[in-house]
Amino acid sequence: MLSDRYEGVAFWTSTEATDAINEALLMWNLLTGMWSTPITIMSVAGTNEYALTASVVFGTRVEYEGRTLNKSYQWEMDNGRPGWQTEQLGDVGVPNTVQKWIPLGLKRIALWPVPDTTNDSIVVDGVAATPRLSAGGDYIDVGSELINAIVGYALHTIVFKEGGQRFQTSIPLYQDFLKQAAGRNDLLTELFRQQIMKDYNREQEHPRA
Amino acid sequence: MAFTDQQIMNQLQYATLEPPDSGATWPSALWTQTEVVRYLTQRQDRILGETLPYATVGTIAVTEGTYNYLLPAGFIAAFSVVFTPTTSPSIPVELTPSDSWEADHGIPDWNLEEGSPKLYFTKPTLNIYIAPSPNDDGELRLLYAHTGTAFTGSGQAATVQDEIVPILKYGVLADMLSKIGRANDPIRADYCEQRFKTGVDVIHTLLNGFVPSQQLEAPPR
Repeated sequence: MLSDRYEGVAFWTSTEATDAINEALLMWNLLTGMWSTPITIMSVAGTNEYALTASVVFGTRVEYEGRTLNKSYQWEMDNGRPGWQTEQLGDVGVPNTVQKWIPLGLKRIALWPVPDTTNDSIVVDGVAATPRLSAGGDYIDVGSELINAIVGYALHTIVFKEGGQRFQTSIPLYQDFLKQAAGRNDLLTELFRQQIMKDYNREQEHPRA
Repeated sequence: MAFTDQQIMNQLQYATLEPPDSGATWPSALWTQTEVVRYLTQRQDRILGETLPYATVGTIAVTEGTYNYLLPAGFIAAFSVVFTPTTSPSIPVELTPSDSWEADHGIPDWNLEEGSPKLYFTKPTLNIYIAPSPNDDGELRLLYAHTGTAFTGSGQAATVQDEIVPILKYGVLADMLSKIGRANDPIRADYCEQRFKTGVDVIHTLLNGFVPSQQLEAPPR
């Protein structure tokens, strides 16, 4: 499929192609969280911080004993409820059930209030580690409507080494990749809109001959 | 499957038309292995410092009357600091991040008169101060972001996850292509720097829920 996008003799090795496609998959997963997996962690009384396993890139949703928790952020909790990290269930002014989960970096989450029971189930839905290709015949679970964007990104990555006009002409492939990803992650839509506009403006500053 | 420095350098060699050998040699003489390994380490630490994606737990023993302690090596920034006094009932107290100006003006003589610690601040010399000076022995529990393991060129695994490695790669390419001299390629260097910054912004947005402030550019006419 990669060679379909280029006229003439391919100017890359199979290793380069594999690396480029895997890079496209890694970026796609980071931007959209397409591949997901749940993991289960058991609570520890008095502990509000929990590490995520290596199979999860970052968490996106948390259930505590089957009940979905609201997501918050550390800056929100620090400014809105100082001292939240040490508030126990049932303290004065503190709810009797775990209410929120807060990401602490990519691989750690905190719960509020602090659970007071051991072995309650905490189910974390997270972005799974990206599936990668390593040999001919490998396949990944991705919709055919996404192949165009992923192959386009891979081609753009390979063309980078050419530099000059050839590289410039491949930038729209990257922009298309971002647009496709933005359509699947509202959180990043504004960020990508700015980046896509920046790319366009850069092209205007360096017009093709 | 963590990327190693050799795998990343192999990709860099493809991108810069160097014969791929896991970064061992750079025949063009535009770069050296040592230089590229250094770029990798610096850019990885920059990603870690700007986005704080990983948290590590550390503890510091607190002595009554002592308000200044050495932070762990590799400390970048604290997520949270909790003080647990030794004396019963040993209720842990989360300290508020602050600075010396606030401490000096909000708690006069904080370093002279002991009390229950309320806030902390750090200094670039890897010291943490708690105010007021603690009136009890105890323990500080730090949840903090740290620098990554330095690359060696001999197969050292990246500290960042695989999904962040492409961002690291473009950061290193930006450094390589902005080198003054024959390697200088300002157009591609600028492109790579933008890719790096976008990647950092993506991680920041995923962790904090909002897009970092960026100056909006006027749309084309």
